[in-house]
Amino acid sequence: MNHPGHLADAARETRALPTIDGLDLTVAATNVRRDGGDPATFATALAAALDTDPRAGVERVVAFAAVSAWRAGALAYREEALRRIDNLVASGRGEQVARLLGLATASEVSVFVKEQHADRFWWPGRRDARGYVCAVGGFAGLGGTWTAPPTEAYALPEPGAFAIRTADQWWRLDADVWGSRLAPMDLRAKPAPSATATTIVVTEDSYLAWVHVQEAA
Amino acid sequence: MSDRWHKVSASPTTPAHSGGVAQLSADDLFRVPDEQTHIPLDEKLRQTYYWIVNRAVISPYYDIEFSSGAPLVYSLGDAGATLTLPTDPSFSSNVLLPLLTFAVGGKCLMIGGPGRGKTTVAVLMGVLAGGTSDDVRRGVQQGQPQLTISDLVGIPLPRDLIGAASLAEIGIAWRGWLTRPVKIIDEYNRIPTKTQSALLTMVAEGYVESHDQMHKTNPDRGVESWFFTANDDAGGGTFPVIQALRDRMDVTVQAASFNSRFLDELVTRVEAGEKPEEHVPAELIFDADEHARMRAAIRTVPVPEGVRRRLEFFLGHFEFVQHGGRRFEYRTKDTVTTAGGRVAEVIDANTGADLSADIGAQTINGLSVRALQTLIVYAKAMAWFRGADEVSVADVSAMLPFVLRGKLLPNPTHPRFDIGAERELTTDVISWLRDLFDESCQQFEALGREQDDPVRALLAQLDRGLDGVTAVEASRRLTEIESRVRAIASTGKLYGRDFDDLTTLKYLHQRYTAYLAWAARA
Repeated sequence: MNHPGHLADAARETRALPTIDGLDLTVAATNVRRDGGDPATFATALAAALDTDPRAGVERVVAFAAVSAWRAGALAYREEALRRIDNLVASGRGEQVARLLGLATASEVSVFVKEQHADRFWWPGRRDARGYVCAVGGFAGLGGTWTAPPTEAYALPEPGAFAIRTADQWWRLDADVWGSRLAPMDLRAKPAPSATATTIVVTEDSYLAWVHVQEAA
Repeated sequence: MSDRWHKVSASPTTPAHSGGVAQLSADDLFRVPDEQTHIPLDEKLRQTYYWIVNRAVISPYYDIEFSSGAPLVYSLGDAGATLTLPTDPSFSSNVLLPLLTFAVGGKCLMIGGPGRGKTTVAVLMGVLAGGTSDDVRRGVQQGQPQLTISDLVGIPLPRDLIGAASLAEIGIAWRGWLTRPVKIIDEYNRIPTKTQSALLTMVAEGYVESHDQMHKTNPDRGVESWFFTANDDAGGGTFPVIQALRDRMDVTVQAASFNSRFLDELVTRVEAGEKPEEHVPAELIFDADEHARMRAAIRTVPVPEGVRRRLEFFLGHFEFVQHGGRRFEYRTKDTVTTAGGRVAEVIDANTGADLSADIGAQTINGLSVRALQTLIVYAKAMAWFRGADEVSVADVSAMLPFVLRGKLLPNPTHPRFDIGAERELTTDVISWLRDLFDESCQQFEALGREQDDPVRALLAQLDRGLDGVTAVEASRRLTEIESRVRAIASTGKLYGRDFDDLTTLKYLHQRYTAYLAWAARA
């Protein structure tokens, strides 16, 4: 991959945003974009969940929407989504959640959620990707974020948080398996590095920074 | 026919510095975004800014630059000119500064040659406060050599002048412009000195007096802003501006010239006979309540510790001048000036000093408390306008030159202004002031003040209180203070930045000495 993105975010056929009586999903899609997610992924994930649950009531659609927002890369809905998934699986909607997340079976959902609570960068295909999770940044001239390549990076004490330096600017990266957010960071507020199995990889010849998790042998 | 004026942009805003991702709920996912129901005031001010620069005054200048990373810089020509392409939203000072003045209720001096849109910008501010363009235009006070105090403030009622037995019985027909939220004085350097003094009372004290009657210029205690225009701020004009009035200008900003590439728009306006102030979109008008809330919101933007320390370090450079007096505390530029001396000569007389290392030697005066307060307010306004949660060094750096222009005066005999391209700084005061702050921040970093600031640590120690501090501990602190003084003395050099540190150490020494004396008696 030579552009920013998440390896777990396998390409799927884009679906239109479903229409539900009594629920304005366009507002939700707008908020997903506001919170750093991709509205098209949101629509596709939600439509996939509703394929096999066409009579879902408003309450269940709201639950699917919260999970879809997280699946679309909006990090702000991560905790809500994990809670909602537990409830959906408990009420027998594991298959819908699997379709929403792009997992093969309902049993994979339980494994996925369990792993996510311990490791926010886990997904079933990570080992095959040699531990690489996502690439962030990219050259601004090609639609990325940075005008200079990253030269220094390290993990911060908070889960999924990293500090990355490009030229004389520090950035804070917040990320998980589905989404990431880069924001300028005040150099003076830069916290100390933290020891973790997750590292951020930068190379001299790339405008991308890679989140990498050391897989257990 | 479409209304070509009525296009309010969805302004690009600079994201706040990150502190992690706040978690949201499903309710938040379906909540109609605020901007669809009620535009936040900072967004409204940004929309106003973009409407003015894109529609009203045609100002394609971005001299207030912000960059998240290294901006692209191009060298142009063979005389050291560079063009910078910033990475973040950057702004046009001749619109932004008046707009921030409007927001905080400040006083803005706009300078520049005739026909550069100074009065138009000021009138736009009046319209933004809710006045009609005709009323605001009528309220503009045109400076001219015959302007009397009565012309400015109003006249006593003739019937009262005849019938009154005392001054208290004379009613005054006050001029209507006095109580407008936006007050505009055109060409204030053409106003006679006596009338300028009356103006000073209004600007400084918020009231006007005539025939023993007082009239408040801001009776509702709302947000009041002042806009002055002048063709220059270097002493030109029919009458010299009295220093106290000049000092009251919170910011000074230069009007930009017209960019010839935008001639088509100008032709369109001439053909249509339109003025921008007649077409301000209604949704950009700020009512009194919004205006007050906007000012209150700006004041609450925090100035973090790191920014305060850099600002504190910068301010410390300017008051001290070696040979300014005999006693240590009197070695200040103010001592020289108030005694009728020339600061530049005193600086020159200090032959042992390394003038290039002493930033304070580049100025002939120190900074007033008023200027500092203004700088803090405008830095907060800048941060708020950019959508930041707190003031950054970049916000201070952006506002500082406009606040200190005309207040922090360059020392023309300093060697810096004699060297090659640096000579340009004698006429480009804004760049000089910006450079001065950058230089100070570099010194701050080089001295490691962020990590190690013993005087700050000693002050913090005292701030924690003296309750329970034993005589032995107080004596230990006294020894530490003396050791700090010795450390500065041992360098053999004395810079402006040391002056405040040494006076602070003396203050601390006094406090602990007094405490020890009290403890011995108790």
